[in-house]
Amino acid sequence: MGFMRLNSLRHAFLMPRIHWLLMLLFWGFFCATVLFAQIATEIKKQEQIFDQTSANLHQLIRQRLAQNEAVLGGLDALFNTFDGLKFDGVRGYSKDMLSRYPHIYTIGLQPLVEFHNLTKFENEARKTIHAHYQIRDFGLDAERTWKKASNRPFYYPVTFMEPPVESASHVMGLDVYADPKIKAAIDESIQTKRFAASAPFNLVEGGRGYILFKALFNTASPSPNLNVRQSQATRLVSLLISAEKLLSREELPPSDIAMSLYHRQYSANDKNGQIYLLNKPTALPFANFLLPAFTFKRQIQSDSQPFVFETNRQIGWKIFSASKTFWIALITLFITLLFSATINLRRIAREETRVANELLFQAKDRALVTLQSINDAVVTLTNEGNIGYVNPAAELALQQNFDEIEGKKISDVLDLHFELSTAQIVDPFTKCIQSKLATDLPENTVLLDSSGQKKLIEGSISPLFSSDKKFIGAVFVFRDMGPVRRKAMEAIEASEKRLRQHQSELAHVARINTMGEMAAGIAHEINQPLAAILSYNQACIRMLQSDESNMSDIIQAMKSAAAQSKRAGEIIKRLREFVSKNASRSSLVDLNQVIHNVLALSEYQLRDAQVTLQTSLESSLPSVVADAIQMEQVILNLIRNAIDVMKDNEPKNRSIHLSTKTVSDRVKVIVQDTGTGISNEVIDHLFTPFFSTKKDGMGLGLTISYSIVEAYGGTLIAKNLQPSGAQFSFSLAVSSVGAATNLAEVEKYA
Amino acid sequence: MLEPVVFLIDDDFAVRDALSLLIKSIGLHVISFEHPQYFLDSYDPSQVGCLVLDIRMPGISGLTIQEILNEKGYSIPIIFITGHGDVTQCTRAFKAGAVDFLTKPIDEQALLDSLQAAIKSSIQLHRQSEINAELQQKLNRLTDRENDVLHLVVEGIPNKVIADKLKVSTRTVESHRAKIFEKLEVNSLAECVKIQLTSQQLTQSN
Repeated sequence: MGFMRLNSLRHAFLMPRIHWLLMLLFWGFFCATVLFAQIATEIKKQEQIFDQTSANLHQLIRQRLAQNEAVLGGLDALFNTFDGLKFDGVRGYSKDMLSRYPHIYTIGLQPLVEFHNLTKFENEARKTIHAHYQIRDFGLDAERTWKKASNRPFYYPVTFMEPPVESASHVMGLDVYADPKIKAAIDESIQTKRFAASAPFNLVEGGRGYILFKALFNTASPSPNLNVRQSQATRLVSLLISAEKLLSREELPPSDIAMSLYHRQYSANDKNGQIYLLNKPTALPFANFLLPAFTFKRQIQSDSQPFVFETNRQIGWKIFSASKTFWIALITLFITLLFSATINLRRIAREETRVANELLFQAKDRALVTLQSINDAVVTLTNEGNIGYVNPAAELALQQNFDEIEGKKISDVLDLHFELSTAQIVDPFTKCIQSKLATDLPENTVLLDSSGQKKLIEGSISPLFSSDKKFIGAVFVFRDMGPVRRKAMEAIEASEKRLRQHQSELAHVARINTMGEMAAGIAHEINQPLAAILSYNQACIRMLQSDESNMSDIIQAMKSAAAQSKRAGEIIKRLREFVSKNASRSSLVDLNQVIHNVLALSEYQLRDAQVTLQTSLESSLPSVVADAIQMEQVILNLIRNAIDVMKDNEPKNRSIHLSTKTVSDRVKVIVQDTGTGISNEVIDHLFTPFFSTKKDGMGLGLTISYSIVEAYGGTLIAKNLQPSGAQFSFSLAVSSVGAATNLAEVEKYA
Repeated sequence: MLEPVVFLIDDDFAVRDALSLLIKSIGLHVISFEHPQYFLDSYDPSQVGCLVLDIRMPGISGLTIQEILNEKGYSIPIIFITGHGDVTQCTRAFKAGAVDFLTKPIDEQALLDSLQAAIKSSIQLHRQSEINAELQQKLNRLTDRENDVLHLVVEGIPNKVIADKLKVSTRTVESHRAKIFEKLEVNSLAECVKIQLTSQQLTQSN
């Protein structure tokens, strides 16, 4: 199972390289989109957090600034009730406020001292405040040194400071009106009769700060004239605000949020206007361009403290969480793989369907072509017995076109007759459709085609079932048995003919063998007396030549020799008797036919010896009375001799000419060869028994042939041809009797 | 030595009679048989002579008789006679040791030559077998130990090596050698080798 699943998985990812590439591209795009969406959501979230944090900070700052005004308002009221340089009542309130609001660095009071009262005031102060009290100047920003105050029309020296810091005791006596930044705030407070904040400056202790002033008038309704009002502003209450303390440690914004508080009169980047700067924004490579920055900017709604609150946040690369990115990449990859596998499987399925359809189409096409080209007639029937399809062979057999008979009942189209049947014949179509079994046509079924011609047919009807085993019709296959039957008859005849020929050949071979054996036997028989005669003769000669010859022995030997000669004669006589005894099966013989038979027998030998054969046989040759088999022997013998004598010739000079002709009332057979001819020594012994020129010859062939020809009233004649070759011929009398000759008459000739 | 005899076997009376007469007229002693069995029953292998045998006889072939004689170890020379020559038969006969193969009718001179050759061969064979018997008798006198020494001596191995091989002293080998010479009635090593080789050939042919 595991293997199977693995295999199908591999199958799902079996796709071209370009698909893989597309899949990778898709994955990249998909992954980027999801990542982007995730980052966008994150940024949105961060922006919300940022806005919330900024709003909170702004609220806090606004509250603290409002607290300043409230504290100063309280002091204003207090100082209005206490006069002079008696501060003890104020001091308690101040301590309370300072401990409650850490951003209020110090609380101070500066009375108006006109130049003409300078000495008097200093003397007074030396008694109440401390012994070395003196009005002094200090370059707050520039010189940062103390010196005795120059002569000016009036001063606002510090006379009260809470908390009374020991290290800051020298601040006592400082003319705050001397500093131009502070002077502007004092003037403003006098002018507006409200609070006024100085421009920010660096504090001695580090950090930035500013002073919030409130002018106290010695009259309830100060003069509208500024110069007059100046002299009416007899005291200044001040709060030194340390910007760094505006926010407690817990309230500080996170390090990635840059916060700044600056004076409205200055630009955001002007250092002089800067009151409170936290978390200076750091430049991140590329992030400044690629990722968004948030800004929160609000005016502090206050006349006395006209500040601008601003926060900034630059989104950094940290927004990309490694684990989240990893999971997104993994999940999108998984989805992409799933997606491409699905697509690929569908593509494979589609391809398979296409191939299957093509194969189906091919199979259908092939089936149709097959049906159209086979010689058997094929007719398909619907389950009601109507014609559904007819192939060309069936069209031919029925002598009707498919268009004419499509949809018709088979029984209306096919006119079948069942000949030679004894039993009642059930219509095979009805039988097949009812039984749903293959049904053969009965034997000797005859089809009457539309032209009225009878055809003997053979065939069967088979039911057709759909793949779900439903009977959907039948197929009827039949063939015209006429040509088949004819061919079968021809084949039987041919094979019988071959058999007959074969038998006759066998008979010939048997006969030839018998003849050979007989010849060998005769040879041995004759050899024995000859051997004896020779030995007797030689013995006699020896005995006659020797001195101690015994006459009676010699006579005995001579007698024995004579007896052996007689014995040899007896053998020859028996041979003749044997030949003539076989001549009894005489009949009318067509010598041309005999020659044909012989040629069939010697065909192989002729081919083997590369001998060319020519025949000129006279047509309608009259018959002769003879034994056909003996005649075959004679002619076969002559042909074999001819083949043998031409062995040493060039193959092109090996030729036998066989001819027959009628000469007066005799039929003549001539066998000619192109050999060396018959030599003079041989010609006289040609027909002598046991005389042979062949190494392994018996010397009986021509002798027997001669005897046979002689037996039928002919003579075997041999002669030489010019320029070379030999001719053997014989002639037999034309039969005077007709074909109906009976054997008794024929025997007279034998 | 006995007078050589020509044994003649042919089933045909006339041929047998005529050939007997012819051989007699040459001056040789002839004993003829109609059937080979009569010959086989009466043959004495010590008789010097030869056999004139017809190949084609009713019931039994001349070649079969040759085989029987060879099996019995009779080394009588055979001249075959036949009605007509057959190469296969002829080859077979010569392979089995036939002297000649004559075709009927038999040429007188050819027969004469064959008979002479056959009888000469027969005489030689007899003489050889006598010599062999004598030789064997001499060899049989040797003890087993002497036989071992003889084999090694004939191979041309020096006495010292023989002594090492048989684990005896050189003196003992020398005394064995002297005994062997005495028993085989020879005077030289060459003669000794000759006797040994002839004996080996005999054993092999037997």
